[in-house]
Amino acid sequence: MVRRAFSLLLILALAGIFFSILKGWTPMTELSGVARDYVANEKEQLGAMNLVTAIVVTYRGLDTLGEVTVLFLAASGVAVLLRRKRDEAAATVKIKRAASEIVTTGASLLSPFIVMFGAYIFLNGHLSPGGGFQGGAVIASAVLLLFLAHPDYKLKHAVLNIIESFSGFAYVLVGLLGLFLAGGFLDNRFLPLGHFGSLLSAGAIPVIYVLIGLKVGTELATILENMKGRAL
Amino acid sequence: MVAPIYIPVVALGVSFLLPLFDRFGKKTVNGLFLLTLTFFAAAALRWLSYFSVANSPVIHVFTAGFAPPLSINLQVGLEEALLLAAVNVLALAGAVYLLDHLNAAGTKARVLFLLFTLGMNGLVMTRDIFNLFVFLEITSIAAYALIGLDLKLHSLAAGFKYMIAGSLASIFLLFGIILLYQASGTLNIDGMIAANLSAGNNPLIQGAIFMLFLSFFIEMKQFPANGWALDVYQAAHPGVAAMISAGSSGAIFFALYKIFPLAGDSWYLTAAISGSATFVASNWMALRQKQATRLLGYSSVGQMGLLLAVLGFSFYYRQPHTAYGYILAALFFNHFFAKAGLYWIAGIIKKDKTASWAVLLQNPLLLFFFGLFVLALIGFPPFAGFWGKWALMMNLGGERAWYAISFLLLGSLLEAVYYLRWLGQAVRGEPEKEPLPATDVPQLTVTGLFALISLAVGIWLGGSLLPKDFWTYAFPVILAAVVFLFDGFSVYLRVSASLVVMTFLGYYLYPTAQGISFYFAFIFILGGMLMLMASLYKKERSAGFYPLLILMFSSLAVLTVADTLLGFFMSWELMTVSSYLLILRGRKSREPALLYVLFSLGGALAMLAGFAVLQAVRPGAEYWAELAHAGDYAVIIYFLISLAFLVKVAALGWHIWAPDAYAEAEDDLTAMLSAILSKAGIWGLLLLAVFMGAPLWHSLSLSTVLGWLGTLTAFFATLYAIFQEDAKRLLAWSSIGQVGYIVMGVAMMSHLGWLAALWHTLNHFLFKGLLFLAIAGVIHRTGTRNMYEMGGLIKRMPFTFFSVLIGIIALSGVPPLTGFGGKWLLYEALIEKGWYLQAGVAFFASTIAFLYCYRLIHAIFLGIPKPDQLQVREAPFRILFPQYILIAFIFVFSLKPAWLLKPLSAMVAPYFTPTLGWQGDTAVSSLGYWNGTVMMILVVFIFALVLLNLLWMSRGSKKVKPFNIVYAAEKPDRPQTTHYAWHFFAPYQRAMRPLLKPLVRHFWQGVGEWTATGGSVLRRIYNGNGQSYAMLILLFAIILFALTAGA
Amino acid sequence: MILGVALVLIGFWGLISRKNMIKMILGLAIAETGLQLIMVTIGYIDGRTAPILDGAVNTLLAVRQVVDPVPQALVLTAIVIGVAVNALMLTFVIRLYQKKQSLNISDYKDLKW
Repeated sequence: MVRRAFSLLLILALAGIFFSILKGWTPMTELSGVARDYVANEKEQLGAMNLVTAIVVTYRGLDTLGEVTVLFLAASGVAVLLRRKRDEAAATVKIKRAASEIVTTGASLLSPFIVMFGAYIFLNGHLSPGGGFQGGAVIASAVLLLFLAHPDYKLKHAVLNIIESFSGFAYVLVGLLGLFLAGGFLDNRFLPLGHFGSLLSAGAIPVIYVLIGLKVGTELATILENMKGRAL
Repeated sequence: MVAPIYIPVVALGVSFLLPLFDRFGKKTVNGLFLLTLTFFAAAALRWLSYFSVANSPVIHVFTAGFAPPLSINLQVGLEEALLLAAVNVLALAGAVYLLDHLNAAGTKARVLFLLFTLGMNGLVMTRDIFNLFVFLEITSIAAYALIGLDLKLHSLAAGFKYMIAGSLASIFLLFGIILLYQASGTLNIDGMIAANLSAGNNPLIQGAIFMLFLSFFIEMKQFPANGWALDVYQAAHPGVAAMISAGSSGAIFFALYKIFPLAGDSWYLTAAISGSATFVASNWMALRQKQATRLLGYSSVGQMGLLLAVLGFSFYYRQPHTAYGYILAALFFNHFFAKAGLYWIAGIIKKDKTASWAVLLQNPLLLFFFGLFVLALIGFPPFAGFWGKWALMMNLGGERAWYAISFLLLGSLLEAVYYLRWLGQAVRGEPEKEPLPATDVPQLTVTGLFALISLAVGIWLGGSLLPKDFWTYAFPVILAAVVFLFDGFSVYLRVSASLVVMTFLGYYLYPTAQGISFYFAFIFILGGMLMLMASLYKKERSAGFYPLLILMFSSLAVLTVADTLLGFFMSWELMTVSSYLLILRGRKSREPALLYVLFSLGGALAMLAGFAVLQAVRPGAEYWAELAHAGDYAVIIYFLISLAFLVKVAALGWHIWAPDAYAEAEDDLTAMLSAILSKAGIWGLLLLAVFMGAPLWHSLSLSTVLGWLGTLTAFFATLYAIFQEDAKRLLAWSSIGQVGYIVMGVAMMSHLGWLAALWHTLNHFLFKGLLFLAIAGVIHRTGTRNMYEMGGLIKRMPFTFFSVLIGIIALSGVPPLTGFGGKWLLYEALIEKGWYLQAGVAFFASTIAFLYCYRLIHAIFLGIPKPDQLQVREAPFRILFPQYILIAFIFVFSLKPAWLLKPLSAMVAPYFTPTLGWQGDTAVSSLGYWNGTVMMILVVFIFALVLLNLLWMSRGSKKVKPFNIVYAAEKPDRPQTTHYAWHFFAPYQRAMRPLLKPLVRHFWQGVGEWTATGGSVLRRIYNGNGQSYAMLILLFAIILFALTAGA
Repeated sequence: MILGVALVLIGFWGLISRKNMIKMILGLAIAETGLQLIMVTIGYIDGRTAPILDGAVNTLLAVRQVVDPVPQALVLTAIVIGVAVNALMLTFVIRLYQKKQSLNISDYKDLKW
């Protein structure tokens, strides 16, 4: 009880702090600083319709590479932590009830479309809302659906691993090409910027987003599989 | 030179591909893994060498081909290069250390390690605040996974708590960043700093800064929001803990250093307060900690607090890039290498309890490394921590930051307590029966490498702080190292090498030392050499004995020529640490040695504080001579500095280390401590008197206080001496008392007083060296220190008997030997000064001294021999020889006191007008005269008469043999009760009971007890519950807000 | 903005009042979501459109027509990082549960003081 009351006090005090900090907050009315530069010049500089994508993939490309790294780290961490130790019995996950016919059929039917949708999202990331992470997540959701429908579904590890590794490696290579052929690491302008607004435009941005999409999709899928294998 | 961008490129390229190499086997993966880390280390070292050339331009990397703030940029300058070199060398070494551990968890574990390294590099290099966040997350997530790697319950639980804390910190960090972005329109750190956001006092911006730094303070493990860190340090594999404690904490600290200019004024002091509180609190709470890795955790957390505090001070006092850069670097690298090394050792020996670390005795090399790391962390020279501490204190003194000085010194004393206790447990703990786990050679190698780096960094940093007479001050260490080379050879060779080295030192110092300093150098060097010869009486000496002796003697000698404060302090600390390690070699000396070093260290820190206070009056003061201008602060400076010396002379109140330490040290070492080491304190007091005179506190002269202290020391120590049963303890108390007389002499601040002090200094060296050596010989032959277990040894050890006889005559101050001269001068001086009461007490004390002098002769040499000691042989020649040299000196100066007194008089003359005149060889004062030669003839004549008379009277007496005494067939429970010399002065003891209460000892025990208990109560806040830790973090947020918003 | 802050506080409340570790993680996740909401809010400018230079935006007047794209880019990163940390935390919980068959945080305080 004392603990409860103390917790409540803490939260109230924090609320007070947040209030005192934010009470003078006013929404932005004008773009300022770096955002203004981005909006004004992105089209000439990078040629991507989606400004967010331009920022994510090129201007702040290092962050995004770091972001991919974080995901990769988490996937590796999950895999390492959920590895089977020699003394542990092989997974004996009891399946309580098989998924119903409707679910399995629906899943089998939907999953290719979901994957396709994911691919669409990351391919068009430079043009419309979307991008590698979103697309990758959508692809992973297809895998999740399959797991739900077919609890003993196995992914093809070798293929996944190779896709995962190569898409990551290729991302770094594309970044290096930017360094060698254009202005700096992760510069997208070593490929022609193309016609503004078309699919093959904005230099290497679509290439990078495809790689990110593949990498994120495969990573999330492996995390899901690892966790499934260790279901409580 | 490699462009910095290749660090992330290579790290990521290799990490992404590494899982594919799985099929080529472990060797390939490991090869690639280590190759990558080697590349990082090499690249970073190359940058370091590039930036070591002054004014090399900073390397900038603009990613994406746009200049910041549009894109993210990286930067490598000198500071970054230093950090990167350290971090990447640590990563390589840590990887080698952890290789088996990582292998056990598969390829992906190595990926985690690589990305952890990348995260640290990124934290150091990036100049974009959001990118900083990303790298922070990379580092943290990799750390979480590495902690949980062994899948043990404790690691997982600790990792989970860490993740909660880390997530909270991230939330605050992001919140702060986004608000700052809105305010400044940029994410570039330099841009934000240039925008000078904190100036406006806008609550929104202040709040954003609050959240940003709150997050970093949590990451810096500030008290009390740091329970998770302690758990992590305790539970994680030590190899991983080393990476976190040194590596990622270091990188995060650097990131904080980088963005700290963003913080406004109110943060500078807050950082200093929070850091200091963390430093003191963690070290305090660690006092009762018995788990080795958790102890290291407390220390790591404390060090982070210290670094944060220094960072805060540097900004608070607006001196970021001058002096404080040096301090930060010194403290940082000291912690960095030593802490990693200690964790590694913990991982090698796999002992949870610090008390079990005696297992290190099985591997001397590892023990040596352990000792180096511990001494480095405590801040002994020549390690970086020493220089950092010095520079920090001098700067804080210049700013008159008294609270800061007291808190930081208190914290470092507390830290020293548990580290030194731990060292004692390792060196003198119960030897472990279990064998040390088989040592992995790579693990041992990297640990050794870090010990070397630690030493090298310290020496390098010292070189830049000690520009004048660098070699003089470096001499003790160099000479000890030279003698160390001979350690494997026979004792004779080692002693010869030591003697040569000492001669060389004497030759080197000869031109510098003059006057009183020459006198002390003479005692330290020649006395040391004599004692070195005596040490030959034992055929076996373990490794390190002679190097440490040389270190002690030569740093003592260097003390006499040290005219700079830093040089003096450094030599003082070297002398302390070497004597501590020497005392620790005694068989039961764990506790006494600890007591000795803690008191010495406390004194030394007080001296440091004194020097720091001087900086307030004389900014940049370097020389002893500048103490003369202490002005208003003279009293406090005198008081603080004199504490160090009072501890060393074991003055009443600070004496409780001495009896035990003298008793339990190796027998010949005790002779050196008493005869030589205690004089270091006298030398210090003289220096203080020369440069500061006798400061007045209101109307009370501090030298009067000192005089009374000396008097009472002489009185009480003598009183204690007579009730001892242990010959060495008796001499120890006697030694304390005798040095008390010298202190009195110094305190009188007069020609005669100093003459008495100087005379007695040499005299005490002669007779106490003689007595301790003689007793060492007796103990060597009889195997006991208890006087009631001896008796009648006069027949078996006549030469030793003669030594003791001469020794006690010289001690008790009766004519004709040198002791008389000392006493004569002292009483003359006291009366001349008008200190009649003191003279009375001193006189009474020296009468009591007869009682214990008598016991030495009576209990040991006279009476009936013990049955088992009938066949005892005379002490070895090697220990007798130095005794007879001492006796020769005693006779020379007894016969011709003028040979000593005249030069002494000349030495004192520059400071006080002589009041002692000469008529030929007769010393004449206003109160009387003294001619040694005449006196000797007179006394010998009278003595001969009495002796002949005695022999004549006792011609018919019958000799008593041991078997003439029968125990009536009863075996007593306590055999000593039947000995005639046991409990000899019991009646006096009863009479004096009120005076004999060990009040001082009780006082210090109380201090120790309360401190430790307080710490262990405080640490209850870390109740182990991850949720409570989260609450503490939120509580910390509120406190921090109150601190910064209030300011 | 208010909603975001409220979510953060609710998340914190969940973190420090629920004993169940999964609920604690959910608390953190709620707080993260609240923060993400705050981030997007900060980049939002009333009456403007998404920062995509398509037909709806006149390229020359874009500066006056779109909202701030930077927080949107940042929030993407923040979300991904949040997901990664949560995945890892859940993994820890799985492993912890296997050790002690308990999800109660106060059952895991062997290390203390």
